[in-house]
Amino acid sequence: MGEVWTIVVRGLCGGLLVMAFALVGEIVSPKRFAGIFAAGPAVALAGMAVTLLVLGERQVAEAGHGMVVGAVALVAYCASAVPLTRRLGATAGSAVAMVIWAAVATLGWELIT
Amino acid sequence: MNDDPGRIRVHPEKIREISLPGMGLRFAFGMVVSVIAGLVGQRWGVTAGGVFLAFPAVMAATLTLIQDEEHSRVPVAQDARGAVLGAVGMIVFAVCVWALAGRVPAAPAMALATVAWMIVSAILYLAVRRYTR
Repeated sequence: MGEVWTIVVRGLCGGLLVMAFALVGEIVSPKRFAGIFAAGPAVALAGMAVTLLVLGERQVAEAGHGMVVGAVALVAYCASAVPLTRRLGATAGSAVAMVIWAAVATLGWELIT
Repeated sequence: MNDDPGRIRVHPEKIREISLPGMGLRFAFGMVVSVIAGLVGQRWGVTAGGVFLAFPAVMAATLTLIQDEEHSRVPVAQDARGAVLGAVGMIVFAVCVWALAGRVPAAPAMALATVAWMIVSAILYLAVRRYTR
């Protein structure tokens, strides 16, 4: 598979799995439990499946290593999203939380490299 | 009959109420994040791409969807609180894949990691529910 097709397949699989996790989140209650699916491993499963098919087993473990950093940053994002959304509204709150995700991910990346 | 509001329930009938534009937006967020993770992986290596596998795609889409509905802030806050639990589960998912994928075939390692994510997130939910009653 060429690099362009790999990216296309990765994008389609990621979109479909994110939709599938969101769908599960929509049909379960209460809201707090449903929220778990908003931080589900949808993009990760799609990305790792394509990595497995194209690059092999060893690379999946390396992706997992990097993902540990991203997941720690995700906890920071989700924890800060609640107060930030309340204080700033959805758009601005989400944007600031995204900056927090990027800052924590960058810090974590510095630690593992 | 148990009327506990914190009890986990599945409502398959809610599928009919799901907004297609909302699902479309989530698909778009998932697609874009997956492409970014792939491009980062191609340019800077698989480990760097792995960082973006935990990008808050669904959460960001959810927050974007309610940007004009100020009254939705409370349910979104509930979503986000649940997402913290799911995110802690994601650390477990990533550690499982990292630790297992070199030792056992990657496909079962990913399946096991997904089960671990679900179990850890559900246990955290039940623990939080117990201590916040």
